[in-house]
Amino acid sequence: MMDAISAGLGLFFTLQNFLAIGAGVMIGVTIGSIPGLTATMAVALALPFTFSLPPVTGILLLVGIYKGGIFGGSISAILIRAPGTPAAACTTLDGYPMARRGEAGKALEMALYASCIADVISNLALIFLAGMIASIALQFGAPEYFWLIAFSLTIVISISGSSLTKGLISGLVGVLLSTVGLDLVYGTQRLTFDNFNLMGGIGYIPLLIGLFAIPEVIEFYLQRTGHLEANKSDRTRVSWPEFRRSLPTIVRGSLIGVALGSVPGIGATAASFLSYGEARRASKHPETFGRGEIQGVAAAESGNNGVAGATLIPLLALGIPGDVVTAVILGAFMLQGLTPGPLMFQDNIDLIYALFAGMIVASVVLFVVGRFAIRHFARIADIPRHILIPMVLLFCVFGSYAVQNQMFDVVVMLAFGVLGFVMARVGMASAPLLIGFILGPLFEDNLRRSYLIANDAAVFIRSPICWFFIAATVLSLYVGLRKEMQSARLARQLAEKGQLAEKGSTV
Amino acid sequence: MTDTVHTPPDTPALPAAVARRSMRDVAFGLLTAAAAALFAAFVIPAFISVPGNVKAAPLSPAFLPYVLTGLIGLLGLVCAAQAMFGRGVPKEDGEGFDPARHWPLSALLLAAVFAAFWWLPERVGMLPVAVGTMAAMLLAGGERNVLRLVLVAVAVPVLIWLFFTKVAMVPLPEGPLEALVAS
Repeated sequence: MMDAISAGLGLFFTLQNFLAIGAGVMIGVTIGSIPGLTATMAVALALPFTFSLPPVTGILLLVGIYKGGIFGGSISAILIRAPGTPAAACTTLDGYPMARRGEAGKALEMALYASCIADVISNLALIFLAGMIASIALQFGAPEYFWLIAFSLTIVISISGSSLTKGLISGLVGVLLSTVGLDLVYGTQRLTFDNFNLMGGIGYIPLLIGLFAIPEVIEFYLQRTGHLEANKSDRTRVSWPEFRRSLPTIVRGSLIGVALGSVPGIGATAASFLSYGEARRASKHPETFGRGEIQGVAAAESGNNGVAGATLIPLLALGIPGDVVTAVILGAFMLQGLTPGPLMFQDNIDLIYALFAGMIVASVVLFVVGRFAIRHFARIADIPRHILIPMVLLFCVFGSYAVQNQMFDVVVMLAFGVLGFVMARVGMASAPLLIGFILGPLFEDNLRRSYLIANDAAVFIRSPICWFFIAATVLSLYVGLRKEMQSARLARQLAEKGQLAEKGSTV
Repeated sequence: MTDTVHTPPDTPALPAAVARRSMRDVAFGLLTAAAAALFAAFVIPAFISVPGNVKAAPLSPAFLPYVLTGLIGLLGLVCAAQAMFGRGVPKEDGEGFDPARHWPLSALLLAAVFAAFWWLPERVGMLPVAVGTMAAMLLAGGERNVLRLVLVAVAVPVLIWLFFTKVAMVPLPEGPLEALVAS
């Protein structure tokens, strides 16, 4: 084993590998920070460049882009409320309010710390627990997935904002929107209104950009205040007490990311929202979440970055790609004549160790590049809003078009922008719609696949994993609903007291 | 002393914002329920084709849309009932919105900008549309320095356009101007 480790380290310690990681992380952070250009797109675009590189160098370039891209998404999410990647949508909930009150630097710094710590934890999980986690993940069939998604959907309760009922409606509308397109089982059209652009469903990037960024644009022009408003100067940094207070949230979010990342198909977006929901649930002051709570940023970023290393667990241990990015990385392996899976641990163990070393170094590089990026990107917050807002709209339009090179996506983005604005006006949170939209297809697909396997409802209680997630779902619903009702009651009492005090002062 | 309505201490009056919100929520809930009913009655049957060989209800393409629409309608009624019979809580989401004096004009401008991005890029190219809309939005945002307006309105769209076309290799819709810039 020591021979294999030293051979792996020998394979890794070349200047070329360090340059590949550095370039990858920088490209990833830059691309990830632009709305519409995702880490997936950057990894796919970089794939042809790996053909001529040695296997370790090529794969580390892609891994660097992936890690950089996931963190980069948080930059635009915090600064302009336009998540660079879907996984960063959750970061907008608290990151943007922090930026608006002049704490963009602090929010970005916390996003970086949470991302790097989660990344390291995720890498360690990959290195030490890959075999064990992969064997558990392998036991997931359609019914187990169904309950896992059902459990993940309960986070809608935590991100519903001020009205649970409206949050639930928002989440259900999200799931309903996800059904648009061709039916996966029968191939028939569903709610496409005979528009061929809708046959592939509604694009989640235009929906995401529209829902989060465009309401800000509309509000700026229709609102009385805000014109020519200068942003507050930002010299804020994360203090040691703030970091110490956020550390348990970061570790919890990282573990959630590792758990969800190791199960193929779930993805970083669900992990970030689940981490956020759990952080809010565990907090003594859940009412501060959504209003610029630093722990909200820590939870979201640790959740989505915890996925980055863990998503390679099923790929390396079983040869199963966990998401689209790892599918592209699988392609890179195959182009180099390597087949990830159990045999790779026997035949190419030195290469595996070289990759592990590279991933640890990538976390350090992410920290260095991230700090550099924060220093420069944070200046975006200083741009006067009447100049920044039209720029945001242009990025949204260009970014939405770039997803599939079609104007229809721009129209979808603008339509969801208007919807997002209307939802905000009626007090309906837009985050549940997004989580419903992302988890909806997984929910329905696994529901129907379970029926196709057994044609019997008993299939949903077939294994201990099913029972575990049923119990977790019920518990999550109970605790979430109870807590929401308590806080609603408290808010009502405070409102009534405030009104009485107001009356007392005016009489 | 200002005018206040006397209310007995045991039945505290709701803040005006809450009362407004309650009426809005009643309307919202009822409209949501009505929309869900119409969706289930007309849209789903018309726009979801269900094959004849579906073995079990959950396998039907229309199953989940029907369940979701039913739940949305039900929650709409719950929302209306909460607003009618319960005590509302002042919320921040829908409040704090203070429309500008000329907001109809601003709304019209935004509608024109959105329409321009819908209709024009494939006819005249993405870049001229971006420059035109940027200039219009800067003006509407209060920029009065002509030099800065022209500089920003031209430089920002050109830089974004160059990044997307040359670095990200996105084939943006082209018009005569882009061909000139590219050459």
